[in-house]
Amino acid sequence: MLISLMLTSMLTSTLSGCLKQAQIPQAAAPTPVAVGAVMEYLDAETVEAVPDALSSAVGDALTARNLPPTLVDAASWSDARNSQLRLQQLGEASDAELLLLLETHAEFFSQLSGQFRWTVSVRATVATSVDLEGAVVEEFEVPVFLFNYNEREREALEAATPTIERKVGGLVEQFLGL
Amino acid sequence: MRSWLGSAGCLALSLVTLTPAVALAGKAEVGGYLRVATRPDSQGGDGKLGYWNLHGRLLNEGPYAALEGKIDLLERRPGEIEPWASAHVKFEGGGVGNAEPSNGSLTQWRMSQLYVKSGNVGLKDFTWQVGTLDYYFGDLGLYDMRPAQIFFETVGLSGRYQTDTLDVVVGAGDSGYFMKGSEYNTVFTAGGAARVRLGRFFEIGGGGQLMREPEVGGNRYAPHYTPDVGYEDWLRGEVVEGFFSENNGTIEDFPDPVATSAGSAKAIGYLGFGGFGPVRWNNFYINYQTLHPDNFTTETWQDEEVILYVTELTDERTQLNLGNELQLKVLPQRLDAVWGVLYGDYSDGDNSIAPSNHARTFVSTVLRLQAYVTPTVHLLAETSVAREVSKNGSAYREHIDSIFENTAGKTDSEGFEYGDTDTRETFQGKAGVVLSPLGTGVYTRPSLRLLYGVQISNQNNAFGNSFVETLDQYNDFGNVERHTHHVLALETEVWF
Repeated sequence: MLISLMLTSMLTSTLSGCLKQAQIPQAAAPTPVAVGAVMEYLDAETVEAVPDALSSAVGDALTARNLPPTLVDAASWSDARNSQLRLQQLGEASDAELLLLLETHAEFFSQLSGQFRWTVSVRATVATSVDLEGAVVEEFEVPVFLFNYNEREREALEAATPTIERKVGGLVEQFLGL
Repeated sequence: MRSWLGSAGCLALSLVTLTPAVALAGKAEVGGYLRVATRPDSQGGDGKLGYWNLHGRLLNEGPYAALEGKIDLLERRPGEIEPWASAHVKFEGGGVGNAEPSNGSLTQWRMSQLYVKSGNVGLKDFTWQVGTLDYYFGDLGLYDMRPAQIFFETVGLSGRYQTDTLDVVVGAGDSGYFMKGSEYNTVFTAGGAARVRLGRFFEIGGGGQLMREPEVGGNRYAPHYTPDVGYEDWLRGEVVEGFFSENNGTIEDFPDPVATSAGSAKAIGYLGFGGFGPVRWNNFYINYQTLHPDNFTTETWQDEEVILYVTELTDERTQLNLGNELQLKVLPQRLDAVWGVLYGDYSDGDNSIAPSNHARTFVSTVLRLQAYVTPTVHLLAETSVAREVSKNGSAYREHIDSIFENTAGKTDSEGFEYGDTDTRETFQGKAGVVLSPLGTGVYTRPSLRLLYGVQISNQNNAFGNSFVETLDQYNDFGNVERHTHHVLALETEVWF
């Protein structure tokens, strides 16, 4: 047992030591981004801000690309029920040159082999504040597994955060040609 | 800068237009689960560390996969309270090429679930389900067990009312095909469960199901009993022989079966709390059940098969199962722990003479620690201690020659006892490296694991094996006495 632990510890050190972070492309000059991120519910008209873990991860992804983010309070967007209206409100709420709108919801799939499977749907929109028509939109779904029944929509979004962060980073790079 | 950004936006691929999405029918999605491993075993085992999950699922389960498809017949959309419907199908099984004895045979697979769900039809927050109805409060992840489960065997109709604080399901149907297969007879099943969330930190639930198999005269697969069958004679397979040694006559004179009805019941409970301090969540599950009786067995007399109906010999079996699992964040993002406890008390009022899986108690505890060297490279250590006690005498062999000591230390060729002890005590320890691309968490998957496991048991060769156990002079292979078992494992597990 002791020998095995020593071996695995050596292997772990080697593996973690070998990992190199990929270089993240950055904008040539700091470019402010207004971020509006909403979470919607099925069978309810409620609109809420996304969990802090998700908004701060998206903020980190933007900061790493030299795109300082400003989070706009999107919880009061119940009346704006489509992306176009929301993007418009986001543009009006900020002076930032770049707009990032995240619209999310989570749907329960089933209890699958002991875990609760949820599907997080994300619609990410990037546009410049002067050309909303030229917005680029990416829609994607992230399956996540939650172990406890008390973990619901918000926890599903938190669990999907690493994938959403990566997708949003890629979308922004694509939009800016980084 | 603005013009540069504008042109960049125009150049970028427009992946989807800004037009609002429309409700879709036919949107399909597939989820699933798989685990596959190679566990070289130089001690002659079958690749599992011990006999079963009582010692924790890790290194004690074989390969397995499940695929569940969902197709939206009428999609749910956020912000809209409209009717919706979806169809689900689930295939699962343990047939995996190169990893188990059937070598991936599809005979090891089955369509275990098929159902349609529809919500907001007539009632808001209410979901109808027609088809298979499997429902459980949650899972003991360390053991891969679900003590608080109902409708696992049932196909029928259920209704579920679900809000943030209340979850109620009521259902009814038939469990005959799952329970009796080709010897089908209707087993009416009805039950329900409710779970209440009290604040953020506490949940409680309970429920149960009743099964009733009616008396159906003339149906050989319906419950019957054969009169005047002694339990000991039945165990020995000597009922027919005994009858004809006391009664002259032909096979037609053997007593006819008498039609009867059969029933069983299950009560379940759940208690969950957590979300404070280091306690992520604690799940406690309990069930108490009276098992459904068996239908018939056969004996051969003078080259003729005689059917013995055994409903009355198998209708006093009960089970009590309790399981608890505590998930702890010991050092946030550095060390997590999960601690499980499992207890079972199984009784058989008909059987007081022979060791059996229906007459035993067991208790086990499993502790898993997972340390995060980096978010994606983890160290895992798990240990378990378990004790199983047979209520009807010796059931385990401590030594290769235990067969000579199976009743009160003496050979008894007519005895029912199997070994030389009524208690099996087992310790397991497991440790290794886990690669987890999606980050930290004991139950975060996918995970790729390199593990070593050791088991120490008082039972001789307490793991699946192909050893020759006979002690006769014609055994050319000899016998092996071994109480310590080692396994190396390279494995992966994914929920997707």
